[in-house]
Amino acid sequence: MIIALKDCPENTKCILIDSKIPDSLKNRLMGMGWIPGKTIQVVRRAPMGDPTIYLVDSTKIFLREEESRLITVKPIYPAPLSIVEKGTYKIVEFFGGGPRFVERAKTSGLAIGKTIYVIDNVLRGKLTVKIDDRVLRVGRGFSEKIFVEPIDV
Amino acid sequence: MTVLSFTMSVGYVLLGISMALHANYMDAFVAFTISFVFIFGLADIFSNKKRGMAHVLTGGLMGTIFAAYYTIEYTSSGFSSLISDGIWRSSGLIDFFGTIVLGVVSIVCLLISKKRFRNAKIRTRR
Amino acid sequence: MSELKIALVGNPNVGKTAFFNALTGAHQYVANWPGVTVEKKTGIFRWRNYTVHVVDLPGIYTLRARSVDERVSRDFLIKEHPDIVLNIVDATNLSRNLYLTIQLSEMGLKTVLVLNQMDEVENMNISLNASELSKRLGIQTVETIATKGVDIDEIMEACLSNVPRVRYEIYPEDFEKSLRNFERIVDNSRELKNIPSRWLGLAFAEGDELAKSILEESGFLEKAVKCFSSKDENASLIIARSRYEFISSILKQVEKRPVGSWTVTDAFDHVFTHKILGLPLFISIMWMMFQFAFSASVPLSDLVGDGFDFLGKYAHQIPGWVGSLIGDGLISGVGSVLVFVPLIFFLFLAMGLLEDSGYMSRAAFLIDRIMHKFKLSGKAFIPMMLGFGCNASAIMTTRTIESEKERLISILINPFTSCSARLPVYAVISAAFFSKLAGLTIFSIYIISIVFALTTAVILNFVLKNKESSPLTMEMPRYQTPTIKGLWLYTWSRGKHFLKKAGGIILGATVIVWFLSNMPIGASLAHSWAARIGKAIAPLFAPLHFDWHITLALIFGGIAKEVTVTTLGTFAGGNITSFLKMTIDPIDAYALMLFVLIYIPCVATQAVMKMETRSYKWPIFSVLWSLSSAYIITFGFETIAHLVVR
Repeated sequence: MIIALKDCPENTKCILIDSKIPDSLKNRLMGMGWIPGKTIQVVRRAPMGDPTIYLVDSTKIFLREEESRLITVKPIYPAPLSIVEKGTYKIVEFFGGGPRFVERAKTSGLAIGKTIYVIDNVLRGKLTVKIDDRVLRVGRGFSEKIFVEPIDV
Repeated sequence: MTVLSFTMSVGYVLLGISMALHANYMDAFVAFTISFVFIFGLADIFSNKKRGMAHVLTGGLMGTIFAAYYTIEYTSSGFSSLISDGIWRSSGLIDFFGTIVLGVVSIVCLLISKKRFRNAKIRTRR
Repeated sequence: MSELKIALVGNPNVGKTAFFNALTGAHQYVANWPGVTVEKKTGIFRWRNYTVHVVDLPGIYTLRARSVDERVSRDFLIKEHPDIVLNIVDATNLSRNLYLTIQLSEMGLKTVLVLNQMDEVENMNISLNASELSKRLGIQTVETIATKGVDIDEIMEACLSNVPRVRYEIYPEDFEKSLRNFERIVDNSRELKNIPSRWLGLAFAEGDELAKSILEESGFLEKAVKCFSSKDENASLIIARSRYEFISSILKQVEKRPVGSWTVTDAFDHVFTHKILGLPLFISIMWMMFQFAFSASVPLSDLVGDGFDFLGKYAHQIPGWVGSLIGDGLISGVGSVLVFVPLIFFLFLAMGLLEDSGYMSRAAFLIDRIMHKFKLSGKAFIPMMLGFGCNASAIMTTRTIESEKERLISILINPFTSCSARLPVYAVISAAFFSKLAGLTIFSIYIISIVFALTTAVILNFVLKNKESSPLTMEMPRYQTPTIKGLWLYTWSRGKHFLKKAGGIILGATVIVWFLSNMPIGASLAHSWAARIGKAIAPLFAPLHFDWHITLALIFGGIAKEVTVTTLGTFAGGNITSFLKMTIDPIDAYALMLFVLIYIPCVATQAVMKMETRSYKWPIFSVLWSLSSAYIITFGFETIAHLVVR
């Protein structure tokens, strides 16, 4: 699914599709390697939520949300659950949370290897998923740390 | 590594308390911050070696900088009173020693962990 | 003796400055590119029988010329056509750095690739085949570690070696056809003989204004438009992509990097940009920097001050007013300038450490969110913070802010951060009128100071129509250990700049004040010309309930804020508290503190403002704005407060 860069949580890898940012910024970013087709890695979000550090080709830069909102990307799998569209996926790893996170995930029935079916994801608020035939509402912060891969059903 | 982190955490907490008791609130803040760098590192060392080492590295750097800074502070306030009043007076000798001792250990932390990262020995999945 | 003109071109943060310093040593000269506020660094060195002129162009990522830095560089390279271009690159980040290299070769310039930071290449376990890179790019390469020294012989030999001109035919076939068409047409023209036709075509297709104006002037514009059909609409994207594909195909054969491991930089960033630890570390580092600059320099400043006081007393041995002029006027004036030097030295040492180490961009990253609410960027935080120590030196640190408008706003709001020289005034007044609540009173002044500074920022942003609040350089470079030589050169040039540009003004002001306070000859302060001026202006301040003593103290405070207290002390004959209590009431006292907070920046600050904005317009505006705001706010406060307390 094509989404805005600003929606990608930490540790996401995605491919740049297009950027509708002002010319001077676009020019500078192009000079730093940001052209369609390149892989962007979301490294870190600032303690107050903005700006965010991105990595392209060994170069780290930071952008504000008002700019990353205008850049469209496509996630590379394994991708965080929070940005995938409706479909069937397999949970591949947990990343970004400590051992306690893994425990909480397990109690909700989420474990590595399980198949998860995403019913609805509007990129804001909770996601509706189905796992083990149970329908769950998963929080955004939680879903940002669960990495999945699509399964062809 | 764990022992080192633990010692540094405790060391800087004690230093912070001492500084706060001497009314050096901002310097105490710095000392507490450094101790937390090591404390967070302790939490990570077990689950993720690379992150834990990053904390030791940064804590080591901050400890070294803090020691250098405090030395300059201490000597300049001494010189200041020397120039204006003719006698050397500087408060916080204990804190000064504490900073130096922890600073030396910090240098060790810095050097050990830098070596690990330098030769790209620590690998990661992502 | 032959002459050579060499230009240094490269991305920011690649060590170009270290390289430039290594080549030219002390023989460098800093000026400005005409019409803009971009620094132009030139230098000279001699090698064998050559005199080499070196121009250090600003760090840029591309020559596509959308920003001032890029425009200045492009213009120089096309119009002045240097004999050789030394392209300094960060060898650990070739995929980005080589983009510029390609553009340089396409400009028809003889380029030598300088692979700098080879020590980091080794540290990061990257294997790089420089000779293969040289072969595939078709240009000479030299490996260096600029911070450890530069082998000038190797560089010059590479520069002077005969290498065939390079031509990169890397674009999609139909675009290449259009380009070749264009080149054929243009190659036959006499007017465009000195302009590289391939660059002209590519630049025009990308929308470059210089290319367009060159074509217009020579009458080829229409033909050019016909060459590049509407298929090439997104020409700049096609061009960029082709270049990057070319680069990555070369790099695949030339370098090997370890995958997925953390470098030292990644490790530091994990903690410095940590969600929880990031801000406390930021505060710690800012605190240490502030303390280092403002208290470590104090003994040295005191030494300088005492030294000049001593000299001044010595000068009084010369009888009469001449002795007084030399002692209290000139020597004390020079002293008041030199007293700043230790402060500036330590401050810029700290700034240099922050910038060169790479931490500065992380600091900007961490507080950007708050700063952005006031349309300022992360880098504007430091001058604001330093303003609490000394406004003049704080304004000198605004140089790191790239956006011109933002820089101006940072400079203009700085005097509203209450500097340490005003503290004695607050202390004396608070102690006299508010005794137990003195600390709280002073704290309230500081809060008002911050509020007023930020409010002015918002107002100025609106008035100056500042739309570019986005950071123009947001790259987060690798962490590096600053070199002593680099730090020394940086600090020294700032200090020298201050002395040259601001020193004169401060000295002049001190002498004038001396003159006014000591004339007519033999008169005491209360009967001097200065006092007469004070008494004459006093009616203007009568509505504020400030009598002529206070007015005069305020006027002298315009020279240096500390002098306000000493002037009052002279009138009070020792007991300032009772003197003040006789002249004003508590409400007026607080109003006086407000006035001192806002009214005018001291002469040193005004001098630095002129120095940094390069015109008298802004310091004058600052004085008028702060004076009128101070008057209005103080008057308003007194009126309202008196009504309420009634």
